[in-house]
Amino acid sequence: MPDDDVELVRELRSGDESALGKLFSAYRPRLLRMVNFRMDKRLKRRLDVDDILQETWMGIAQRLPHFLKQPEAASCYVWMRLVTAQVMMDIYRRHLGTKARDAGRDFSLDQFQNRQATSESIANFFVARNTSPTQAAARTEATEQIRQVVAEMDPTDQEVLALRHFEELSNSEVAQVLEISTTAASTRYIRALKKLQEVMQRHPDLA
Amino acid sequence: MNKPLPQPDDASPTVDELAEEFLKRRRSGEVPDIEVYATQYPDMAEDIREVFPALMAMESLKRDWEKAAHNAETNSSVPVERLGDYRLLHEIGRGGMGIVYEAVQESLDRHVALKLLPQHAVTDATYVRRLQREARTAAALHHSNIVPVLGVGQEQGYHYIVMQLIPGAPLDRVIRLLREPGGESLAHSISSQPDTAIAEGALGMLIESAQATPITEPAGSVLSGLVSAPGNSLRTTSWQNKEAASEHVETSALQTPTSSDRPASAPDSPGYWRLVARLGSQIASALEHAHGRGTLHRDIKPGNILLDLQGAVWVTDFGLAHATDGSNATQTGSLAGTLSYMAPEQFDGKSDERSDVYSLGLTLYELATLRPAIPSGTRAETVARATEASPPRPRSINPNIPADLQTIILKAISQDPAHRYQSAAALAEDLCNFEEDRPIKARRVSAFERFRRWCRRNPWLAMSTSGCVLLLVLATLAAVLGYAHESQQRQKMQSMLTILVDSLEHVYDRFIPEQISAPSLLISSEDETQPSVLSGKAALSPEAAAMLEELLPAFDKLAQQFNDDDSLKANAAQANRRVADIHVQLGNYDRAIAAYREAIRRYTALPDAKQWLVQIAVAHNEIGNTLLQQGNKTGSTAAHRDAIELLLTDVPVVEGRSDTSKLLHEQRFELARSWFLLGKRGRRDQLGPPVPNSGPPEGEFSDRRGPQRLPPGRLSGPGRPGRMPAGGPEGRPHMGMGRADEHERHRWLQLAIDELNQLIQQQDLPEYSYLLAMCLRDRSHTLDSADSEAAIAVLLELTEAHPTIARYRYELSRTYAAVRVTGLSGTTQESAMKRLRQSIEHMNILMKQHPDITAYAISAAHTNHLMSMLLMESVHAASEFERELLASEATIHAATALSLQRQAMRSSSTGPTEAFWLMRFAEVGSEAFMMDHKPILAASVLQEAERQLVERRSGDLAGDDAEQYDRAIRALRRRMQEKRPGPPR
Repeated sequence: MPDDDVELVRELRSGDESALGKLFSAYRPRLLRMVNFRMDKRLKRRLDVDDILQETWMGIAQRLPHFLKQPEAASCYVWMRLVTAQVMMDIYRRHLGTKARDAGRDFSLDQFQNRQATSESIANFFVARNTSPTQAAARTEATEQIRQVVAEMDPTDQEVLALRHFEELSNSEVAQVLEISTTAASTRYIRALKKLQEVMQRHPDLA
Repeated sequence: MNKPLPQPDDASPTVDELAEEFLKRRRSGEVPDIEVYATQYPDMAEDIREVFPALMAMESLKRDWEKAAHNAETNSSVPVERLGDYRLLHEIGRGGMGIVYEAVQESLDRHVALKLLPQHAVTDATYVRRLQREARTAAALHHSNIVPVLGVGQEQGYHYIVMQLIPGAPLDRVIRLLREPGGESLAHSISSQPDTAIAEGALGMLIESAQATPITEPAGSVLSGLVSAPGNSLRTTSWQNKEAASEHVETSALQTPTSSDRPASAPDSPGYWRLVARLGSQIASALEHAHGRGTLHRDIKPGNILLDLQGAVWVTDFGLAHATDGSNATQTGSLAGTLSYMAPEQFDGKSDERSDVYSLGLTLYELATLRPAIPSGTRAETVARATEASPPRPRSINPNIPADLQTIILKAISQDPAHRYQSAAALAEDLCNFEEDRPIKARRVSAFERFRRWCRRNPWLAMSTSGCVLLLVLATLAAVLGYAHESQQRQKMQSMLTILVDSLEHVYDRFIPEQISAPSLLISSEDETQPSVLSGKAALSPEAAAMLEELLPAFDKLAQQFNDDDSLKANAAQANRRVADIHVQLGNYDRAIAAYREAIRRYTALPDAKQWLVQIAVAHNEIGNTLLQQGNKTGSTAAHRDAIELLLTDVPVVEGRSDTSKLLHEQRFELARSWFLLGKRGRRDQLGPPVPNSGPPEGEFSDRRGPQRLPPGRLSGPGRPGRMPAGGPEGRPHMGMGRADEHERHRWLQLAIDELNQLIQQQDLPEYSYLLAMCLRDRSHTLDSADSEAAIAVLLELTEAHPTIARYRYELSRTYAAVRVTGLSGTTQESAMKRLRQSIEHMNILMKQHPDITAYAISAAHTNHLMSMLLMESVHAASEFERELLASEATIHAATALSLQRQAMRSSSTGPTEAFWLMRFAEVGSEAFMMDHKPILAASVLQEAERQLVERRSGDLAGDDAEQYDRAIRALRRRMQEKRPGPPR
């Protein structure tokens, strides 16, 4: 599949606009993932993810020239993801509007990465697996532990975990999104995993 | 925007890269082993062992999150919270016609299942009424295996149906579970329990887990929680923990991939089969109840059958498929599967009780084999598979399936409704018989019978999957025949052979009967004296040609193989004839003649050759036709005479005429045909070397088997030297048509006409009248004489009596079109126009019925061309006002002629003759446009034609053909130049 992508991107760059649609279709599942993962809870009920993707598609089609200006090696998926994020931002503003301001949240693109939410979500999800009642008690403690561990992680490390697993990005894509080098992204990832492993070993119920 | 770009990777993989690969493999469904990685990369082993488990944990986290998100979405997203008395809770499933929710009926405080119907249909009043009627019918059904309908309503723009809530799972989910590795043991444990209660309890477990499984979750993970395999270090063995997933890959139990075409488990416990039968008979009895009350289900499939926690089966959605007029598949995209349970006749809109039997049969098939009988593909594919192919026999998928169960299933899913159980009750009865170890009523269909049915069903499918299949069968037959000494076996083989030959013939007939090999002659040219000739190959569609090419080796083989066996020699000879016929169609005239001769030789060599007299005569006549195609009139005449001589063997001569009254009808007919072939128009030698695209054989008769097969008969009397009828001089071959020739022609035709008249008195078969009409037409002195009228009358009668036989209408149309268009007076012009219009009308009908036969288009093109010429002729005598109309009508016909001709040229391999005509049509068309005061269109018509010809010319290589193209192009250019004053292009 990656080879197909490369081929399509090449076609796109050489002027074949129909390749854009194909690329979007190919990337759609991942973009869907991203939207699902990142979407603010408050909006989940009101918004149809398909609608968001529809708007994203229009945004992508409009901003194609922007992608074409980027250097050859730039990942198309990363760019599409960026557009999706921008679209989501626009939608948020439309729906949450002034209320968001009141809540004291600043909707910069950084914030959109939703770091705080990320660490919480990750931790919760981590622990939510065990539904057995006997483990419920242990759970709270474990949750806390994990949350702390994850929260103490460098925000970028958290992001790396989320991107690698929840959005299923590759290392080089992660690097592009976070605007760091691949080595850096890789190192962070391994480091984060090691930290998690430590916590897991201390709480057998979590494994 | 200066982003640092990703740097190139190192040569040896880093832990991260390995991790990425590991992840990728996991995500694609594999179960890679951490230890393997650690061993393979020892220097990174420590890191690997640290990092990989955390990695997997993250992955499983993600999966959980997905599941939770999915559940949250579906469970919490009820589109509306209340509908009247009902409060919707959460979604429990999706069906063919809507989404099912669990709801609470407030007034009675009970939980029910509420099905919301798709909104799009809501506004249609007829739909609503139908729905209500169906719901009422369904509500009237009371059976322990039918989900009761409690109510139907309409509220806030939603239509809904309320049903009893059945805690359980639909069969499709259960089957999915059973397919997974481990499913086998589950099935085993369910069915092998001696204690019913435990068995049902186990079944209940199965159901609950099926319930809990969202569609996307690989079932293996759930299943592994249920089945405790040795060495499995899963945390929980209690099946309560549905989420105890297979995420701990350290176990080796789950190394097998979860998705495969063959189910990983193949049940083989006797209890399982009894279970299948039991479920089947419950469903069948439910169907019987409904059928008895006049309701069909129409959409039986595993998704519509619920298995409850006690192991009882419930059928849901009765009759509702009908309410949406059965077009389930056109609704939400996820329902392509519905199609694959429909009975073949349902695609044509005809369903009855047996269609439900069929669908149930397919469901049982799937329960038994754990595989859908007809896998769903694109809509078109699924329909094709359902209507044409039979699914593989169950025991070929799982040999453990008991033969009786297979027999029952196969009977239920017979393609032909007449071969199925005629009622659900009959099916239920046999299933009970099976379950209780009694003999079943269904008869196993013998291989022979199966073969016969298959042949009948798929005559040309058999061929289109290449004659190879049939060749193989033939080869086998031949081999077996060699060893078959017992007469009974031989007889069987003989009948198989006959069936085979029959089906081959059937295929041939399908492609050829109405296929005119070419419109023969009788396209009146504009100057009436020379009937023009069209190319032979033009009218054979590429598909037909391809099909024929495939048939050829099959017949050939047949001819060879069975010539050694006396009893089959006749078949061989017959096959030879077919080979020859095909060669004719394909234009391989030399080979055709050789094959005909071979056929004659074989027939003659048969011990009772006399009984094949007619066949031999036909072969001679075909040789005659073929030789004519090649421009060899002399040879052709000789061949026809041979036929006549043969047929007149032993015929007495009375008063100078042969008394044919004692001959069999077939013989008399063939005799008349021989005379006709001698006397028909257009018999001439070609100037120059024979060209394949010269005159066509009289397609209608060249492969006719005559009105009926010749039964073995006897000819009386010893052989006497044959003689020519009525002692006329032998026709000497001439170049062109002289007076003497004309006289000769008429003589032959007269003989034919007389013979036919007598024959018709004795037996009025349409073919006799048809040939008579042809004779009359060819005899007519001028193109629209009394004979011509008579021919039209006969053909008209034939067409009306047999509207589906294209030949009659075709010849009728062409006879209508055989008119002069020049030099006519006012009244005759009128009648000519009338005839042309009728001709066009009939040809239009033919083109509609058989859009793929080029000959019709070509013929219509010519007729339109004539019409436009006629109209232009009539302009001179018309009033000022009329001129406009006539001219404009002329342009319409000219344009039609051009477009049809272009169409014909596109769709098949046409030669330069068609190109010539295109040029001619363009010339006349441009004249018409000029007459209609449209000079620009006039010029463009010529230009377009020139362009096309040049295009064709560039691809054409044969010398002669190229010459003809050039001529046509030159003519066009000349005309174009004439139009334009000034320097030539």
